[in-house]
Amino acid sequence: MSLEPIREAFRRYYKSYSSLVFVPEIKQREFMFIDFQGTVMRHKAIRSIEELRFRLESEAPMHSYYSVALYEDPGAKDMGSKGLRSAELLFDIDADLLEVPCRKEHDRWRCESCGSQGTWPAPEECPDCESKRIKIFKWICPSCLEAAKKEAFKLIDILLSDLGIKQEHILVAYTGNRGYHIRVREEKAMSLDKVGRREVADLISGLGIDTSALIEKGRGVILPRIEEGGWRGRFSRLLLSILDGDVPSWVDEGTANYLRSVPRLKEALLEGKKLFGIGSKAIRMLRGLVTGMGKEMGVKIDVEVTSDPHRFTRIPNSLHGKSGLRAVTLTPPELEFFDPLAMAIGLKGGDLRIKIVESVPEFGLGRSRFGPYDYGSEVRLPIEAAAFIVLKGRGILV
Amino acid sequence: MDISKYPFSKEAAELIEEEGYNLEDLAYHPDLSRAREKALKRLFSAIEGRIDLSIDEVRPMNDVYSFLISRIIVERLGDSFLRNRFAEHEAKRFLSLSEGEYLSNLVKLAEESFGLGVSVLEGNLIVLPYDEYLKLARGLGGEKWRLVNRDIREGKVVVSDRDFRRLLAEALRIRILRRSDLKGELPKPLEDLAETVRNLLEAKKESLPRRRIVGRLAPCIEELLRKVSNGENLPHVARFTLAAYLLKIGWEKEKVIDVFRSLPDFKEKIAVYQVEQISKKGYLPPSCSKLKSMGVCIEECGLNNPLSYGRRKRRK
Repeated sequence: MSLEPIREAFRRYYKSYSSLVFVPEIKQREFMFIDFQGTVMRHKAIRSIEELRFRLESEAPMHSYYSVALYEDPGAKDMGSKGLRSAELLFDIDADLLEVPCRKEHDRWRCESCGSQGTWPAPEECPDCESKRIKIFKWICPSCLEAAKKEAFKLIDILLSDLGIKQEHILVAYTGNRGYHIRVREEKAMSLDKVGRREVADLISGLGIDTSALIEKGRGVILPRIEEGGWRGRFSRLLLSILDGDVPSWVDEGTANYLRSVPRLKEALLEGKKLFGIGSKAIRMLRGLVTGMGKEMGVKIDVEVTSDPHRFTRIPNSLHGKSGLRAVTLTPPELEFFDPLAMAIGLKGGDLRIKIVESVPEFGLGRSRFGPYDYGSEVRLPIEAAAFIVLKGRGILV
Repeated sequence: MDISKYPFSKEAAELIEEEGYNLEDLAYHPDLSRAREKALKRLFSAIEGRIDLSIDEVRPMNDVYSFLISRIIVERLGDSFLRNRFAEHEAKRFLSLSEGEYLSNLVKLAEESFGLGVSVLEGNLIVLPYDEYLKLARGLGGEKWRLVNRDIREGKVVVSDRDFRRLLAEALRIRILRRSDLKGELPKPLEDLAETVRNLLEAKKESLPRRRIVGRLAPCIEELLRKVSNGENLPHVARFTLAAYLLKIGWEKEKVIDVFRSLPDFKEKIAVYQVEQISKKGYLPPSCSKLKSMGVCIEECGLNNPLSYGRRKRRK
């Protein structure tokens, strides 16, 4: 059976709630839609919010996006002739990029050749029949969404402290699935070109922190000062807290103890003095700490997304075709209390009968709890839960 | 401020305006004959890759006019090799002559002559907005210039006076590289001057080894080769990438060294040593993700290392 009943539910949602849909500077944006057959429609220009709302109501697309870029001619068919004016700086935080332990519990794979299956991580080829036709079933739960939210806050902190972006210029959007899009709408950031965006992406993610740029070795060793900004200052403050006995979990005790035994290290940090004769082991450890810091404290964003001014983000309050949940725009303070699985429900009214084709863990949606459901079972569920399971590929409509 | 050191400054421009010489005067006026001579010397040094650090103590305006006439000739000839060499020459000249300059003068230069929003933080530390910093620092090679390794506070990058001078030199280089809309023929004496420069330029280009490239190269490598042959300066990582790549696809060491001869700051001894080392150690070019970070990548080819591009295309 096709997904038509779910598309119908999408349509009903848009008929009732399209007044919530809003896109700033709409005339200068490029739009992209993907319908329920999987057809991608790009290079669309839309002249007014009414036109957009009408389109959503009549077509009920599976996915709806708009460009973070503002163009002279957003409807032009090739990128070169669109005339890029500026683009919001976009950061993509996706639970996929975070090593969350809950994936082992709820993400599964199945070999489409022999039916062999298992839990995350998925193998590249099937261990039983060596086929590469591995289907992956992702899921979302409060714990991976919480990890994504934590990452979003880390990102906002760096935007404020390092780049001096004002909070009113930061927009957070729950994508409707596994993560958040964070956009910066500030003139300086919006006029950055690709190279500048890459520099900012690397700054946020801590990619390319150079051990010898931070731990300078010439005649004596120079460490960054406590009051410095960016990763230099973060390093000094991290080191100081280790010397004071506050050791983060990713730093092993041995390293911490050795660093504490290095003479005059604290003095060097606080007074900006050069260090002499601390030995190569201490330098190795300090540089190891720099590398560890980048890995552990950098924000896990998709740097390719941030570097590219031509990317898309979801239309606020449009529905996500892999969950049926709403894309929700938030301010940073609102993010704190935002619970996606409770608050981003969009589909309402009626129920659908589905057959489970991949086991479903227990989950909460809105105020209700559902599942667990075993493979092969048939259940009648409220539209939002039925659509959630079907769009996640774990059930089919019957 | 010593205008002979900073002929590009707003202060110098104001003095030019005050003295009121026009293009005809630049060509014919006897008081400017020394400036015309100095312009020729300036351009010769640039083409040869030396730096002319001479200062006219008696009449500093001669250095200002010599810079102006040089720029006019560079624009008239419209040759990108010359433009690059001249830009490099002026950047290096500034870097050398501005050593020990008062911080307040440097800040004034930055604000008035380059429109940068800078201020002194404390001691010898200067801050500038991160977007302005990024525009200047991208031309400078080395990890220390990357934003991720800088002291950045609330959108302002903190730099030492020394780094600040490097950034200003870069601003000057970028300004010279931007074409102006000077059009049409110059008065006869300046045309003659341009002709002399053209001849020397052609001779210099003639003396550079010719390259023949066989097979397809990764887009980033082609771009680097194009830049080198235009006499553009390349940051360290770009030079390393180019050398490692060309050696890995089987170029002779000598041929690789020849590629670098057209760089404005080419030094035979250093180039030979570096290329020898890269060859001896068998270094690979940096990964694509690194090249993206360093701004060397120009096109998404979906590879992990530019070498694979060569391999895949060449096999076809």
